[in-house]
Amino acid sequence: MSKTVLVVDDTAFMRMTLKSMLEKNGYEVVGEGEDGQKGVELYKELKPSLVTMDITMPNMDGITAIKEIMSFDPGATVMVVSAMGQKSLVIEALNAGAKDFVVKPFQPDRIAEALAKLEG
Amino acid sequence: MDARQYAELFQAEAGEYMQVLNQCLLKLEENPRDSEQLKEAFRAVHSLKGMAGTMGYQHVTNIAHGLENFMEDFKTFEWEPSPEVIDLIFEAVDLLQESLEHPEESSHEDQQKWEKLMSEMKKSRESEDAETTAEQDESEQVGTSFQLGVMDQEILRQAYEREEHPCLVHVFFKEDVLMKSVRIYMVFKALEECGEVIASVPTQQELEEEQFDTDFQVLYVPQNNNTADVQEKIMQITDVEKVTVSPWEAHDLLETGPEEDTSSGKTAGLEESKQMADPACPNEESPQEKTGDVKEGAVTQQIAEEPQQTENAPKSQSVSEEETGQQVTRAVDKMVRVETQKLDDLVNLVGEMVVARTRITEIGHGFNEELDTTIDQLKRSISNLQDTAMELRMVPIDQVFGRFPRMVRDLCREKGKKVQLYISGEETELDRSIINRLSDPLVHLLRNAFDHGIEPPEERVKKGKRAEGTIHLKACHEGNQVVITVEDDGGGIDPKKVGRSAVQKGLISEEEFSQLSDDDLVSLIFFSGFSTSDQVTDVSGRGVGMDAVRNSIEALHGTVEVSSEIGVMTRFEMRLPLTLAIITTLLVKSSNQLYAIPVEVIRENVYLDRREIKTIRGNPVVNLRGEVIPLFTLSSLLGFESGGLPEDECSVVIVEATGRRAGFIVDDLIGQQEIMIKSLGELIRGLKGIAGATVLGDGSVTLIIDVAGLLSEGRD
Repeated sequence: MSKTVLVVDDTAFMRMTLKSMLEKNGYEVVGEGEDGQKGVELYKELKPSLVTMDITMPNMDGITAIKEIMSFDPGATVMVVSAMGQKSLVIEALNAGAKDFVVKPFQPDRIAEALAKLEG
Repeated sequence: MDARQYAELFQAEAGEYMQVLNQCLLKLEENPRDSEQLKEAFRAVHSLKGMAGTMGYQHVTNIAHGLENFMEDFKTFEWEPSPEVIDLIFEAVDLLQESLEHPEESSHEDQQKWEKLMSEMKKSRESEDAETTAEQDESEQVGTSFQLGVMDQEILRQAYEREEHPCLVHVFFKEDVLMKSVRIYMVFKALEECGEVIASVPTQQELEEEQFDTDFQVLYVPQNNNTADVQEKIMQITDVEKVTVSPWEAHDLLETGPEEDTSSGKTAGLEESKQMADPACPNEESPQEKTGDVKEGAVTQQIAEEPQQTENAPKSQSVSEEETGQQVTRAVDKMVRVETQKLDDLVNLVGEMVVARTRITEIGHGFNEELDTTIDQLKRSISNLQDTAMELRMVPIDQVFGRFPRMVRDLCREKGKKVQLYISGEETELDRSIINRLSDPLVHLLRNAFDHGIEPPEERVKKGKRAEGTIHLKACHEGNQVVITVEDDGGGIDPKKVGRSAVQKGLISEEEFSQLSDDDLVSLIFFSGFSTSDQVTDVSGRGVGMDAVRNSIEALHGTVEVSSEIGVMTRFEMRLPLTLAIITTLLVKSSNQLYAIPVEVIRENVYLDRREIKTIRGNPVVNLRGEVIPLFTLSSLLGFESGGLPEDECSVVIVEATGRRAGFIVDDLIGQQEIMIKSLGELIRGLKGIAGATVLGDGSVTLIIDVAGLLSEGRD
């Protein structure tokens, strides 16, 4: 199965860097959303095998988006992308159904490791 | 990662966040209760931090991180920040701005500045939340053995009865693990999904506070003694390096057991914090349900730990508030980011199409009716395309205006003046290449208005004015020009004082002084080397000011004028073209070559008889309504051909730039035309007197005259 991924982040910059890292790890970035709302819509449309989700975003934050995605597809694999100091939010995201998280700024090998563990 | 390629995008986006940040803080300063602003500012800092971190800009990240931490409690608990706190935030924002200017390196000095500010922020924070932290200093020593309460022992006993054997799970994180506490949370969640956690070393509370290195041990009862499952599950968590599971000897239990009173409290706290962190976790209950009395135990613990829970309560509340806040603020922007170079290329290409369109119309005309209609369609589409392409380059002037409220605020603080800045028309759009070059002259004018225009408060009151001065900054469209005005209600400019000073400096003669109108005298401030201010301040008044402003506005094919009323106001009015890419020019012919002269420098066109042309020291001049204007043959001024003066009559274009007037003698005036400026290319860039070139409808190339450049050339 091809590994498709949807990147949800409100900064174009993060989307770009994430995209390049994911592509290096053999993922095909099939969609990019700039807020939670868009992320949920794209998920329903694209059904990617992985979603990377920022937490703090306008319109709909990442946690709400995760909840919506999980209720649409309980088997969804969502990885939270968080900055330092968002502990309680990350925990909330995990409770909402996220499978893992990475902390910004991230190293390529960390992403690779997280992806490998998610796939395993 | 090699993020260099993203540096430009980073800077552009960072700039926007800085603007948001400043705007929010200004609003917050006005109304400290407006927690939305604080949240918005917080988000901006947060995004910046993430971006900077990914770029590897360590210093920027540090500052953003520190600032975020500082702001967090205010945001979370909706504390109203005091003016001092806002000042500190402003200072940090400034350091952040500085660090963004050279993000890749930070000097020792930068570091020190930041550290100093950090300690100030820390101090201020300590005084702010002295009460809330008072209770938290108990759990200091890190335990080395399990402390088991009565209930834990009971659970263990029952596990033995079920023939489930407790074991010791030793988890090792990687050295560079981030957000340890969340990983801890994940490990405990995984453990609870397939067994029962009894206790841990360090305690779960200590773990969640990250008071440990990279490994910890958990006393654990796996369901059905299935240790392999547990091990696999934990290994799947990112940043877990190693997990060992070993049997645990029951006799240890008795050693720590007796200390019932104190230890039960502690372990209960452990259990409690787990529940708080994960209120909805169903696995928490399942093992407990197996024994009836355990539940009762849980209830008593909850009562015992009441104070701790209330202390944590605001945190979870704040999370939901943050969620709703995010949904309200910031509208969706349906924007695409494009490199400006690409836009320029596009505009350029469209320009070529416009030229080709004119050619094809000429060639194809009357050839075939069907062809004519198609060409007509093509013409319309290309015109639309041209308009759209030009629009793409337009950006609201807010990009420049946006930073001024902050600037004026800082100046007020610094100089002890009270000035209110009113901005209107910030949505007015201009070509982005103009916008980028407007900032400096506007800063200059504003600072001038602040420094020299607005009087000190006492003086204003004496004059019967309001102590608070006002500066109006306005932008609007007028035809195909943008008009920007800077008006202050200060002391105005005294024309006589300007005139006298100009005479002293040798800029004008005594005679001219007596002849010039008040308006003309005031306009003398645009001459280079002029300053009326008695004292020099660090913001303005060095005497290079106004002519620099005029030069930069003229370089943008714009004009600037000043008008003033003594004791009432001073107004600077700038007129700028909407775009630099297309300008209106007068086409003229000189020595059989076509040239384009931008119309905004042209004062008039005159037809002169040979006899009207006099010479002063061998140089031709004309006396035009009492003003002596030097004359030049355009082509010889450009150094092409030294065509002598015309035999009988000639056309003269009177131009004015950088405060000087001159007449260009040309062979013929062709007419007015809108042209698209093209650069001359690398080889002959910066040629004095030539602003660029354009391609006319018939495909011929024409040079565009840079009048300001030519006149300063002629002066030397």
